[in-house]
Amino acid sequence: MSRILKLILSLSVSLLPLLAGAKDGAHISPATIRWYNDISPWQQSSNAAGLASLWLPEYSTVNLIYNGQDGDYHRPQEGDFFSETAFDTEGSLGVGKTRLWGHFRYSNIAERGTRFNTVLFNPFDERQVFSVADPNVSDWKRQVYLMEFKAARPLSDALFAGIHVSYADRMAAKQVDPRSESYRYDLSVVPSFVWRNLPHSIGLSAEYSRSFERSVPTLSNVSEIQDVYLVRGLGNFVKDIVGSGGLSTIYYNIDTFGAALQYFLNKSEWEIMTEAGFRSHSTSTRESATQPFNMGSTRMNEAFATLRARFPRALAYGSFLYRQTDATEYTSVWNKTSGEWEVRTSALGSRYSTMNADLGYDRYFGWRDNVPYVWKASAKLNWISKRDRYMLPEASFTYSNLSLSLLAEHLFGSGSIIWNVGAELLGNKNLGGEYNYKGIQPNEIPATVWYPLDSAIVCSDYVSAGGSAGLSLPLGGRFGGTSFNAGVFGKACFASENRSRLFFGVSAGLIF
Amino acid sequence: MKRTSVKVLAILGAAALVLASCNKDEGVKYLSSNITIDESALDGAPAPEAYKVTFTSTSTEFVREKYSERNIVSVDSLVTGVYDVTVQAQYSYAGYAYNYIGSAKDVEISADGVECTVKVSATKAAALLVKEVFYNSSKDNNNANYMKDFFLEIYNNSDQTVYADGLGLGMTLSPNTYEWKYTPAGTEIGGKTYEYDLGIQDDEKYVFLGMTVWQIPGTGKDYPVAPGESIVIAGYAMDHTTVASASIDLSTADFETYCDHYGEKGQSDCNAINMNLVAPVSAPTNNFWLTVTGRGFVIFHQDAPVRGTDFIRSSNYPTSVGLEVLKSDVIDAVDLVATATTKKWLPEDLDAGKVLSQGNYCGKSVLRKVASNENGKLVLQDTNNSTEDFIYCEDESLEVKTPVIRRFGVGRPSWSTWTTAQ
Repeated sequence: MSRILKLILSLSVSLLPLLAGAKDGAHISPATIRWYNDISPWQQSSNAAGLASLWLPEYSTVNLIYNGQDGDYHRPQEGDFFSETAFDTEGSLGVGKTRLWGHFRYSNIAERGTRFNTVLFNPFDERQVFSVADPNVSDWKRQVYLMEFKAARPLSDALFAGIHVSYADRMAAKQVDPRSESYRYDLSVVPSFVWRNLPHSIGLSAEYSRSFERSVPTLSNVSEIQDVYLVRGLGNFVKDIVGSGGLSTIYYNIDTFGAALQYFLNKSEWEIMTEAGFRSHSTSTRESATQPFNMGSTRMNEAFATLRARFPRALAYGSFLYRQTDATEYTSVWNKTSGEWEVRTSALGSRYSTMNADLGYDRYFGWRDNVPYVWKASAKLNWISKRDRYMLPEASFTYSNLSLSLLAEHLFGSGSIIWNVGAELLGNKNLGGEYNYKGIQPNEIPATVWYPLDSAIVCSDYVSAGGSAGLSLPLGGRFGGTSFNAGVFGKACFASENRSRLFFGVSAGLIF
Repeated sequence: MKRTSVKVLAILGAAALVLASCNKDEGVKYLSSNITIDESALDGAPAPEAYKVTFTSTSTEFVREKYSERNIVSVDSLVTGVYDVTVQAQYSYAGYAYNYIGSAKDVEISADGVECTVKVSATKAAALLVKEVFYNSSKDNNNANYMKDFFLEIYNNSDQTVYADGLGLGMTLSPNTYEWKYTPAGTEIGGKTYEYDLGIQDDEKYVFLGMTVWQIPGTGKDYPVAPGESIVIAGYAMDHTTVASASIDLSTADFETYCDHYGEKGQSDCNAINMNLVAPVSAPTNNFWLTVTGRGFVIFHQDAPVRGTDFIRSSNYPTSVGLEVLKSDVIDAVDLVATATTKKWLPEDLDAGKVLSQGNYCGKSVLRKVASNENGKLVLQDTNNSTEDFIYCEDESLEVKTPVIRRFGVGRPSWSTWTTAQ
């Protein structure tokens, strides 16, 4: 089923960008596409229907991308070294009155030096609190196929309908015993409507997502049985083994329901877009298909709100997210009569709360043919607060951070080539935080190594500085209307306790 | 515009307040349970002065203990869950030592004040005890898993000489006793149709042993074990340090699990006295080894010869067979498990607790605690609860923190005189 779906989506989404293209033969640079996406009020929302209510450029991009990270400033479940090689294509197209947008990305990711994640594709997904960890240093290899498209069409002069569908097929493999193979599938469908009565527009979108992850713990050396932790959160765990009849396949099922309301006001000199919505995710985790053992369940509720105001040469925006995840633990008893695990008790085991707020301001200066701006200056303020708590016996993991990033970008021409150079400076100030464990396993590695190290990382002050450079070159002759683009970026991050990390990347591609 | 923005912000603020109001966790609190101790099954044994009541979570390592001087005790600070409850005591009276044990399985604690009654029974302390078990083996000099250096040491904890002749050694099969219960052919359990052609009706009186069952030879008084002496049963009675430097010297073990099949597979017939392989329930391996992930280890003595064929079948699966041994014939038993949530191999009336594995091929043993050591007479702790009675060989109280036979200078039987393996 997943293969057929992947094939259909892959073909349709991949072809969409190829069908699109700059119809007027204008030279579109990557900066131009970024700019259109930034200022487009509906593209930044979860409502696809709004795309049909505004003009958007038609384009296709095809890019080969390499991203890398290296250094010891990372969370314990991340690797010292990270590399991603990706093929990415995106396109926007109008067919009659229908507006289409598609995106496909294939990523091949390798991480070196991870710890404390035995089975999960993404160990930071709070919907998957109940997982498996081991202290062995290991590589991870991952592959991601991400396909998404948006379609929008006016139903009348005032009413617009749209849909955003995304499908991701992810595979991951841990490379050191206890190893695992993880297969994860995510399908999300977001239908939406917009009612317009100029200068006002009101939108409504609903969301249903279904995620499934199946992870199979294995051993390469079957005679070397491996100890693992069945994680319950914040350093609490139960010991298990991989091998010799120990841990078997683990299944995660995640269902998400959500809805959002949008309001858009379009005046001649300025426009404003607001959105508020919620999502509710429910996850069940079980071990074994033949004798299902309920490992626990989570419910994550999210509320979010965004506000974007666009002026002739400036963009101001803010967002707020509140997220709470409740993890329920079960006690199961083997029923000898039925031959099944039977849940006897359940109780709230842990709670994870996140508040995140962003405030940003982008200012554009100048304008030239084929270049939406000559200079761009941005400032962005981010505040995040985490309050995680294990109920009984008590444990807590908290931190608050405030960061400010400043960015400057300059676009300039040299003949028909458009160059861009940018610089970014970011500073993060930790406003407090600690890991406090009063559980029953105070001398075990999760409480003595894993969480203390994680706390030290997320409570670090740090500064980072970096730069980027790129060019966009229109191809002539039979490739008229097509441009070749290339770019590089690099950023160095310096944190407390002499930790550091280098971020770098290179990309090359075509826009047509 | 201004009014609209204010409305939007008001809606967002209201939504945030609704979410914040959901941020409650009432109901997550510690619970208590009231335990009534039923002494009606003491069978004339004196009542002890106090009991220790232990709640052990079946799903985590959460444990709560409390001492009771009366027959009713309230245990508090419990987290919602399912618990195994054990009640135990030791008491000396008229020259005899008594062990008291009672248990209740799968007690559900999901509300405050759950009532539970635990019936306790009393037994006189056994003479022969499992003193030390080295089951998780070690690595050889090539860092490969070395699966030959197992031993189990049995100690005479009493004041009288006892005889090891006929002593049986076995490991348990599945803890799911229903598999061994007599059930008419064609009974469906858990979606499987079982055919218990050799099932047993009163299965709760038995412990079921599998793989291989060994027995010390002898006519009845060939192998005396004096008070304070121990006998060592080795898988392979040789000096293992010659091929695995991190291993141990078992060349002075008293007994060895050797049979013709192992000889054909390359095991040397060392000086140690060969045990009899009386019940080769499963196909033997190249040499006998205690499973590295743990089992219930049982020593027993039965008056009738150990049956060597016609094993009890658990089902229509021909390889799932076992040998039943009356619990009343069990002299001592130790439950060794891989993890805290691994099911117990042994029933609670044989071992109310369990000892966790320290890993595999890591050269660690478990040994019984010393209760007293007066005038050179070592008395080991025996409460029929291995969680209480056993420690790991790296325990800080021990001088030698590796597996070793005849630890604490305990005596070797007079008939065991050889000093080398060959």
